[in-house]
Amino acid sequence: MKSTHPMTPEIVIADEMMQDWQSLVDLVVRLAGARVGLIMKVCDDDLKVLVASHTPSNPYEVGDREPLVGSGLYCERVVERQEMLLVPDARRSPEWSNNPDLRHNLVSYLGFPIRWPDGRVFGTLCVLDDKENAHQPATIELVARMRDLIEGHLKLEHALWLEQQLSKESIARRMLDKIPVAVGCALLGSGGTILHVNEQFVRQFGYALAEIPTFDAWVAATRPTPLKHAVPFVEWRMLMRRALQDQGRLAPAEFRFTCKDGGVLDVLVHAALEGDMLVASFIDVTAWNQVGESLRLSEQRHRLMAEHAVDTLWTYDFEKGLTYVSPSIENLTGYTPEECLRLPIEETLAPEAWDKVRKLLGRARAGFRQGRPFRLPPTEVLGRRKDGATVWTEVTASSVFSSDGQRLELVGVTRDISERKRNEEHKQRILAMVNGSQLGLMQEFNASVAHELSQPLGAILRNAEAAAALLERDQPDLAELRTVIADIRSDDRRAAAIIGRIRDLLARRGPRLRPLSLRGEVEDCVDMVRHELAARRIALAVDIPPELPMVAADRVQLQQVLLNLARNAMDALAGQPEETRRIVIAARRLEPAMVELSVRDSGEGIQPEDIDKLFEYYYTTRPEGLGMGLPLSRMIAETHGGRIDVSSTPRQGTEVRLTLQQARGPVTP
Amino acid sequence: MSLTEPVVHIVDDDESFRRALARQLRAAGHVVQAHASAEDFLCSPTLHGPGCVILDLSMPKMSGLECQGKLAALDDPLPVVFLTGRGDIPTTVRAMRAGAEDFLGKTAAGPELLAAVDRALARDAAERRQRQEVRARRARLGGLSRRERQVLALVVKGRLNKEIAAALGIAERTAKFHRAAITAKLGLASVAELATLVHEAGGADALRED
Repeated sequence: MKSTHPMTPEIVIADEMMQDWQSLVDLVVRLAGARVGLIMKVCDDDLKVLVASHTPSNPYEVGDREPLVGSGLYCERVVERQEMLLVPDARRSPEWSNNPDLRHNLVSYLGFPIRWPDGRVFGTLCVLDDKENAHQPATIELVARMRDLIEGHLKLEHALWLEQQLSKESIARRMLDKIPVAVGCALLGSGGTILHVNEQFVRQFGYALAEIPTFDAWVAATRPTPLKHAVPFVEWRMLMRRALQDQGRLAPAEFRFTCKDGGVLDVLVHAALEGDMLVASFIDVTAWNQVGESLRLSEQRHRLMAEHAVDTLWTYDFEKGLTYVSPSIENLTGYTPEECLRLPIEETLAPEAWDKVRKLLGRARAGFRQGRPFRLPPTEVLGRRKDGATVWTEVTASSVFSSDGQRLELVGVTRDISERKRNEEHKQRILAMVNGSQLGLMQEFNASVAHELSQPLGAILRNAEAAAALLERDQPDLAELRTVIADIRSDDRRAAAIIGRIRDLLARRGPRLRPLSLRGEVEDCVDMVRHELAARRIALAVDIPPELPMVAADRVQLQQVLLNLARNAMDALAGQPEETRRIVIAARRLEPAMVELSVRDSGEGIQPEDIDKLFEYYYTTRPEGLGMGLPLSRMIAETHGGRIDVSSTPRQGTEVRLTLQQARGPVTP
Repeated sequence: MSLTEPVVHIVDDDESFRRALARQLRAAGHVVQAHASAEDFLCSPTLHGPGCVILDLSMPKMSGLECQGKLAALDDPLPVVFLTGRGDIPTTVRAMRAGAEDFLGKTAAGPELLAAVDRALARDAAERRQRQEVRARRARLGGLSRRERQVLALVVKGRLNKEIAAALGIAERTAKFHRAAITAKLGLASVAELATLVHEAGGADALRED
């Protein structure tokens, strides 16, 4: 006989009420003229003394227990039969001979059962005496009324408790209904009756309880499929059941549900089992997943870009070092990305760059501490390859803050600029060479010019002064004076010749334009290289119409340009088979006022991208003059108001075109 | 001392300039000898002076500086005036450091040129005179007696008369006497001048000769 209903917990009797009961029991005992008064309570399988009268020689104390069944107690009979018991003298009947109360010489007993409002046994109210006592009817009545009073108190307690429960229950119910998470509970078992679903559940899945009375019905309607598992739901359901039964709860899992309106939801399910009852919550994570998916896509896109970029992209964390480096790092340094991430950053930098990089990182960190963003404009940094060689790079970077604002990362791009550097250095070297040699040349030139000129000029001065001195004599030697004058003249001519030669040599001075016949000039030039043409077995054709207008040009400079073009054409044929070596020099009028001379060779030709290079660098290796090359020829052409163009067809040949202005004014042969 | 007329030598490979310069110098009253090369000049009978030389710096084969170097090795080197067509500073500095009297451009004005020649000739005369005097003094050293030379050797070491007397085992008065004789014969009194003379004459060894 279980005395506790599984659903209702023990009600605790209030202290005040206990005090009342104490006074009640004391009163009853006195009025009954008895020795002991008790209120006994049924606790599990025992009878417990709840109240004991404060009478002398009361052997019982609050808390004393005796087993309920089989103890032989008077109260046992009362509880069992649920009716009053009066035993005037237990000594007289053998059935009470085992009663433990007899130990205490309590031979008479009067007791009533106390019941809960719902009829359950609470305990007993009893009076015991150590002498025979049949009690007056009034006493019996009194005790009965006392028992009623106690039961009244119990009723009150119970009512209060119930009210509390109901109110707690209603709070719980309100909470469950209003919570914005879908929650439901069902009984496990065949079909699985759904006991309750909250408002969010109905909103989320679109089904009211009436439409989905059982777990099976709900599953059939919403067709959940587990995400991230390839297992079908039926099988999953079995696993789920087993897990629930083993552990009482289920690890959160994601499912995809179909709602009543056809929409699809991703839901994170938590579940717990309590006895037969399954309670589960369903959190809508559709939005989360979408965000996650788009983040994943975005990341993938960025990764693809990073992987395929030629420049190396990287991220650097101040605590951890390099956290990402794109695959092109291998081209740049010979290290794979994995190797790079393991290496300290110094390994990929040349020692000369350490200081610089350290300072930059320091600035970035300082900026972070002050909350300032850090931007590194394109900066040249000397890197180091795996094989130890150095490589020039250009680094750009920006600081980014981690999402919690606590960590600083640097995001950057490193570009290989070795090509650019090489070109720069090459240019510098060429320029230095040119300037140096030119400077040296000029210095030499100036010195030798000064020296050469000073001879005749000095002689002229000396002669003039000598003549002046001679004239001071009384009898000037006229013959001598005539010689002096003659000498002076001769030296003057000498000086003039020297100056003329110097002018010729210095092609950079402004041209002295004369009307010239291109035909004649080309002939002169060809004369100079005739023997070389023959030696190299080059066939030359000249096609210049005699009626071609004259050009305005400086003869010396024009000759130098023609010679340059001719020599270039000859050089272009160097590797060609003999029978194909041809140079054609042609000229034509170019309206309205120009003349175009073209020098064509049947050489290998030049790639289009290389044509600019011809004019870019001082490629000449010949020491003639001051180093005439195509750049200088072009400059001469331009100071003449003309131009030089180059066009080329690979494997067919190259054509260089010199354009000059037609001579204006009277023509002098 | 010879009374030879000082000769102005011209060394220049440019014929026209050489002729003109010679003309100008002769017109100014100098005795001139012109040479087309440094080698020719160094074979000249009047190489040892008196006179001076106007040297062109840049000549084929032996250059002006080289020539001056050779001149400086002679007993009576002629003073040098450099003429040049070049104007660069390093050459100037080298030439002046080598002891040139002057350094002019070929187109220098007449008065400047003639002044330089005059200075060179004056320097030559002065140096010649001085060298002559030194030679004379050296000869006079030879006129000292053995004892006088001994005394002189110690004098130039800075010894006092007393010390000299003790070293040579003579009386101090005798030492003083010898010293006076030395002064009279050499015409020099101070220890420094005596020491220089002795040194120029070849040092202490010269005094030990008998």
